[in-house]
Amino acid sequence: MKAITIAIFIAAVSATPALAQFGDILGKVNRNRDKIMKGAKVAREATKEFTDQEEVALGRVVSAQILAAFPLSKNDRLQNYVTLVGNTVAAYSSRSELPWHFAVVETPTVNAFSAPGGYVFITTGAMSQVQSEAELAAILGHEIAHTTERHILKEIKRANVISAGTDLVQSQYGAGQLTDELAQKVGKIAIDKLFKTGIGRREEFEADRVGVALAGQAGYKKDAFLTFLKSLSALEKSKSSAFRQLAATHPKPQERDQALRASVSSQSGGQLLAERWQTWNSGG
Amino acid sequence: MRTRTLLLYSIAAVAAVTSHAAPALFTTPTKSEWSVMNGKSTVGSVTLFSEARNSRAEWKADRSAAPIVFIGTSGKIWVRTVAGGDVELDSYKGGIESTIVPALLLPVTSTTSDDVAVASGKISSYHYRGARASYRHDTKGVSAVDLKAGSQQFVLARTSVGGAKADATLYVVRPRKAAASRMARLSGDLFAPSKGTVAATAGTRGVEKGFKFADGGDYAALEKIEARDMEWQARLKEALAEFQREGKVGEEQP
Repeated sequence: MKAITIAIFIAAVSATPALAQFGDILGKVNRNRDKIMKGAKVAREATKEFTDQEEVALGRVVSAQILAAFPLSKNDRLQNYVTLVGNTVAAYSSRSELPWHFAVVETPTVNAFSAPGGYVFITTGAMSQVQSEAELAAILGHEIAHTTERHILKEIKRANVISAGTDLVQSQYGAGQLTDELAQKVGKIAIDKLFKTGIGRREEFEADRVGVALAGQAGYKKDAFLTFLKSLSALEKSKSSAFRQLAATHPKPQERDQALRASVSSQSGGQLLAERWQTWNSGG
Repeated sequence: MRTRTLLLYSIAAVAAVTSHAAPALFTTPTKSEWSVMNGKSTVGSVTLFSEARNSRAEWKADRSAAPIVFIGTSGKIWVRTVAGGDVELDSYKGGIESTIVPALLLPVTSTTSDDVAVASGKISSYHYRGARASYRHDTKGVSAVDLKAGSQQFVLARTSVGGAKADATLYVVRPRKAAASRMARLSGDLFAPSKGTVAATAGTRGVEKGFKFADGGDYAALEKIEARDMEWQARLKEALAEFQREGKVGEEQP
């Protein structure tokens, strides 16, 4: 009996390092498994595809935030005009079936915003820099491109606030799992991206390229956007406060000009419609 | 001599039958209802107000549709647009109604060169805009019109007729103003109080009614934009068509 006890003791003592080693391995496996699971979750969330309905639901949240920051312009003529130009361009986009909404918001800040699902806003500050309908078409085309390329949506996905299984829109008359809390999170991400950090240089260049192409397809002079970039460049040089937000969220106008120039320089034709712009903008 | 006399008689007979001064369908103020059939299908209905010199037709593709008003007066046909104001028939880009309705608008013809044939003082046929209308009569006036337009054949059958009070306001034309001021009216209600009955988003495309969240967002402003665009849906297409035509952009680019 004594011999057995001794044998067990020896075995136990000799096995301790192996046990410890096994424990380490097990720990590593567990940690790796956690990492893998976490990675898989992120991957799942990053690849969650939103339906158009979910996208519109998220777009409404983002739009409500934009409208809380900037009130709607009371210039009915401009509201109509932007809607007509916007719809003309959006018809040539890859997502022409979306319920597009265009609106002008009141602020001297020179900027334009888009929210998922087809909501596009342009500021009165940006409108004051526009010199032709073709320029306006290109700006709206840029915002339309952000939506068609799902730029903001990707940022929302990347932030991992919406789990893969979340059903944002449960039924035609129910909000699904898009709660107040989740709406707040989504709104915050979008506002941070739109107003403070921007959604990425690559995305902005892509929106420029696609937007100008859309305006061109709609029959507008494509190089008009270069004229708008020149206006932005002048604003930047004058250190205008109206340009501050745009500067923080977009590449420099000169860089955008350079990136675009190759694709629009060879283009001729298209409508500029500077006079029509003046007519609508002047209230005449 | 006999040949010459025969020729003169023939010319006189043709002149008596063919005339550009078309007779009215009804010479006294009359209100009549018409159904328009294409084969066995009803494609629309027309409420027609007629008198010696003017005519007004209200076309409906179906009962629930808003009527499209055509007015024939002072030698021209006008179409009242839903965006406001009247445009001449040539500027109107509508559907089949722009071909069908002019058959009922006599004595006003779509152009002064339209071919109108009259027999015994009554309209017998009318050739216009690539269409040919043949008229049937009863004791109350024109009772039906057989219309051939391209490969399609329509029958316009009168379903009721009665006298109407003379009302000059029916035939008043309000030509459209310039596009800018006209279209400026489209969103006149953007800042009106939100209508609770209007879905906040484009419901016809399967998108939910507007949800509001306690997230600090201005959903009231958002719903105004959505409600405006919802109400615009019917008018926007026409406004866009004109806007693009005027600027030679979109679908109207050269």
